[in-house]
Amino acid sequence: MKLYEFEAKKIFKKYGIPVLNGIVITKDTDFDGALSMVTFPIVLKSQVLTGGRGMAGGIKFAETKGEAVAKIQELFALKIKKHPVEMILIEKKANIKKEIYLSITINKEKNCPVLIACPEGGVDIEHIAEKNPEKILEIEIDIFRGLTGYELRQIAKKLDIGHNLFDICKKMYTLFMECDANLVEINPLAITDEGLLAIDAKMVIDDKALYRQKIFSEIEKKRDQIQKMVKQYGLSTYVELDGDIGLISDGAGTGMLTLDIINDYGGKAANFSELGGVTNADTIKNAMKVVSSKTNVKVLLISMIGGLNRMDEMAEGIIAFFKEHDPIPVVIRMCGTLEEIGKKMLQEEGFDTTDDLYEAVQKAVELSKRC
Amino acid sequence: MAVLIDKKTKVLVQGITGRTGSFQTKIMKDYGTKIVAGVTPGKGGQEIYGIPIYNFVEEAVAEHDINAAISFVPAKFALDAAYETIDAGIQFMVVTAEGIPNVDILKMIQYGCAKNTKILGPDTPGIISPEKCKMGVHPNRFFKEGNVGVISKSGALSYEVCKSMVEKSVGQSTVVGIGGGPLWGTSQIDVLKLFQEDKETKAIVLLGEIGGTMEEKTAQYIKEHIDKPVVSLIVGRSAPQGKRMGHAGAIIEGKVGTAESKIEILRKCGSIVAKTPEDIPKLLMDVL
Repeated sequence: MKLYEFEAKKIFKKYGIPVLNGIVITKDTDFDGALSMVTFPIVLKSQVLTGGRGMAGGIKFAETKGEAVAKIQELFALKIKKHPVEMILIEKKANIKKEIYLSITINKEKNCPVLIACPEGGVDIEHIAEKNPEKILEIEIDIFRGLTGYELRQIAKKLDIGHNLFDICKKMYTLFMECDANLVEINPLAITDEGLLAIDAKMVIDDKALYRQKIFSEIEKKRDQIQKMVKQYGLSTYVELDGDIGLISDGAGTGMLTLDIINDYGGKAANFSELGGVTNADTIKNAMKVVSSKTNVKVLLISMIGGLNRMDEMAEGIIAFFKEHDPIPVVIRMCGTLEEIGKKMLQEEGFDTTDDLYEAVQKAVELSKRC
Repeated sequence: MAVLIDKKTKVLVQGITGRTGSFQTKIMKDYGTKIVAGVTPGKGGQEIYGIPIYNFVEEAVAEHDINAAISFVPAKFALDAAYETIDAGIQFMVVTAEGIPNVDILKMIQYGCAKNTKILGPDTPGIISPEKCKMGVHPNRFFKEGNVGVISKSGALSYEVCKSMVEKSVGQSTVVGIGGGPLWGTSQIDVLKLFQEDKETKAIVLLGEIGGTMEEKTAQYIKEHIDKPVVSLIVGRSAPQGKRMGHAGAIIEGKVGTAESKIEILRKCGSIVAKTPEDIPKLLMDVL
């Protein structure tokens, strides 16, 4: 789960990482009132959950109130990579002497947290990694030991910034661990006359840890209606796509395979739900509810090759769904654990099943074109 | 021969009395896996399917000869369960739970590394050496003894492929589910190494998916170190940018992790790339 800059800055502040005090406005805010609370010159920063905001014109500066109002209106009319600007963070313009890059993320090969630093801040770090990899400094962090002073002194020396990074990096690392973050990024970290200052703040929280991260799970709940339904029904995955076949599978890998085959047969999936490991009859019933609730779904394709999932329970859920809901064309592919029982239960209720994935996909694609 | 587990493997089940743990234990035992003990806190002294239950792993290890463990402990408690197994000195552990926070996974893997316990998973269906031993949740009928080693991130995808293989009478030496990612205690390369050394394994099937850069690194390793034929399949060709396709690791971010890039590099590095599971048995028969 990505956080908005202003949300991440609130967390930074809590952990003692220096940030500016800003205010957040929406289209409904009284701009005049808000602008009378800030000291000019100011910076207006679009709050969107995507990168490349600066390049897309999502950050503007203003010297006066009049200029600010005009630019606020421009920003609210803007879309950044399809994300409409709905909030703007207003801060005092900082007096920057030098900018560097700092982040903590996970090194997936070495299985450890890693601190990444670069003497050039405010830039696209992936671009630097490609063009000038030697500029990027990394410290692999032992998860049981944490960051050490000597490593940070080495980094500070290589960055040649004459500032001790120990304090800020320690705080970033504490925040990273305590908040179950997958990424904490300060790009840029500015060196100003008053010391270090996080000009931007980016945080990605581990979705799998939201159960023990109350603050973030509350934020997430407010954001997305469908995802809310997905959470509420305990589904492992729900992905929106743009076709007309509603796909439910009992594994992610087989789900992706099925999407590929649907494509190969000339069909298109409307959405895709994967049940995950721990399932029961309600899991599939709820997945059917969520997937079929999308209006362009013409046919449901349910593909089961259960190891952990029990086909007797899957059959029970499918039957229960059709007792409670209007009929919709459905193709069921079923094999795996307790398949004999599952198939028999479905047959008794008049549902055909097949073992063969290709046959099932072909049938679903044909139905989607006929309906 | 098989890799990681065989007929001699003596297994402990953590979370043996839970809904999934008990159900799958019965199937594993019926399959022939030597399950010698189970652990569920508070249920020590009881028995399930004739298997003695202990409160702690340490107690089970004191009473039995155990060299592998499979954990059905839910995500929230999975790290503690792993610590317990690692501290008891068991050197191979399968962690099935999905949804374990990344920080917990890192701790589990690093602690295992330091204390010499190999972790398979998390979020894995486990491992099966057909007709010898199964530590996992695989539906039995899609597997038969043979000489193809299978490596998969996804459980169900490995069932799909092994089903196609068995329908054409191509069996497996061992099928290893490494897990859905984005963090892995055992990587594709770790398993490739084992298959390369295993005399029984004549060919290898590598089942990958979009997201991350593991397949790219694996492809390079195949080129440099593997002389057995490798047939690979990458799923997620039709996946859109930026959407997480079920597995935590399966997401295309920018140019990183697309099926095209993985397929291309695997091909360049000498792997045969299949388009669908159905092609795999035929491609295997050509090389075997």
